[in-house]
Amino acid sequence: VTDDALSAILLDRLRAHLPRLARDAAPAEHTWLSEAGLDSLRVIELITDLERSLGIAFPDEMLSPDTFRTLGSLRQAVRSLVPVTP
Amino acid sequence: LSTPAQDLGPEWALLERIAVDAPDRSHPADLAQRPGFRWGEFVEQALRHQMLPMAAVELLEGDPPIPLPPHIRALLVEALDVNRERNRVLRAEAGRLSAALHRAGVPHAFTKGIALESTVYAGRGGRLLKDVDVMVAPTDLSRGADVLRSLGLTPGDVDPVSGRIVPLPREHHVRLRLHPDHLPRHARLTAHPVVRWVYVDVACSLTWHGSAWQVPVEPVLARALSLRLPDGPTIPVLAPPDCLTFVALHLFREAWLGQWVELGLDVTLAKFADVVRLCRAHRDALVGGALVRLLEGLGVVEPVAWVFQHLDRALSLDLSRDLALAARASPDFLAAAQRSSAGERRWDGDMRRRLHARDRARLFGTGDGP
Repeated sequence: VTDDALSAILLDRLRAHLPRLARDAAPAEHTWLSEAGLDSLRVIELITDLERSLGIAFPDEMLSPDTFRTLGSLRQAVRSLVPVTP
Repeated sequence: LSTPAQDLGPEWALLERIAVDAPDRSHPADLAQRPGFRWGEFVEQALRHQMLPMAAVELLEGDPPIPLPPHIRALLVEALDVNRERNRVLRAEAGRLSAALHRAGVPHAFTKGIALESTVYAGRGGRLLKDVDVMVAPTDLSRGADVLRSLGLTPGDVDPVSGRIVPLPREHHVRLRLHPDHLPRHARLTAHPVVRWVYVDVACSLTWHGSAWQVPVEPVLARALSLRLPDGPTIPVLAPPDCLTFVALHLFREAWLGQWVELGLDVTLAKFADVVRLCRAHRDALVGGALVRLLEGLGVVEPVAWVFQHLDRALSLDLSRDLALAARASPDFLAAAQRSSAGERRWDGDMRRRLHARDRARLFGTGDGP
């Protein structure tokens, strides 16, 4: 998958779970996901959705609040799990 | 005590009467013998609220005996027999687990049903147990898991049809990694013809991970008392004020966190029955400000007052005043459901109608309106 395609999938899934993010056409990397509506229940739904959509499994060490703090931290985590083609 | 309104029907009034277990209220026979009493409605609500064995004790063994339709009597007899046997098996499992935790040097205390059924429910089989609940310190969670494994318990759910233990859903694992307030549920298959498996739940928090209300577990465990179970084993249980605090906080967790409603696991009338019975059994140790001083020291007055004020309003009791908790939860807080980054969920604050309702999710809104 290309980096652009991965970003599109990531944003698509985020917007599906975080309606507030849907209003932002190009959310910044430092966007706090909690401020976009990611609460303790939605984060679990988001994780399992991303795992299904991308065919990945977040390792235990990534299942921490730090991974899901900002759009940038989540993008970085997902990139490390999906082979990205240039 | 005042008589609760019967606007929700005699079936619901009977279930409330059984939950409160107050002899000075209407006799169950008066409610059960109302013309047109719907036993199907009563049994379904009793099942929803995990109170069928409790109802069986009251209706089968009350004095004087209550005339029952034969098929309802047969159902209640069977439900009570099965529950008594399940409780016996789970008591044995608790004894086995406690001995193993002691050998491993893990401080612990049993909580919830296993600690209540032989004490405040007098061992009559009325308290439905689904599992064995035990509390350890957060630093002992991993050693607790080792002990469970050594006893043949494995993380998982039991498929009741195949009788096999199946892995827990991925969501469950993710939730526990993010919110490590207990171990994944462990199960063990038995050779018993009826109680074919047992579940054990190990927790390490009196509230939940990330909660605004945190209670240090170690001092609570240090205050634990020994309880000799009817079949012989002795297990540590929380001291009565800690036990009531935990039972109330657990009820609060189930009722206040909106996610339980969404998962179809909203609070039941049986949980309120636990609180009422604990208060009655240990009244002398709780009144006169004794409980509220403990709660103030732990910083959990507000959530416990939330429970008692709802309890009083739902079941026409006055426990909040007795325990000096009256008006300690604001009307605004009483109608709150969950504070999160997604906003606070709200409901109309009528716990009695909430308990009676079948579609609880419809009672909740977001933002300011009910």
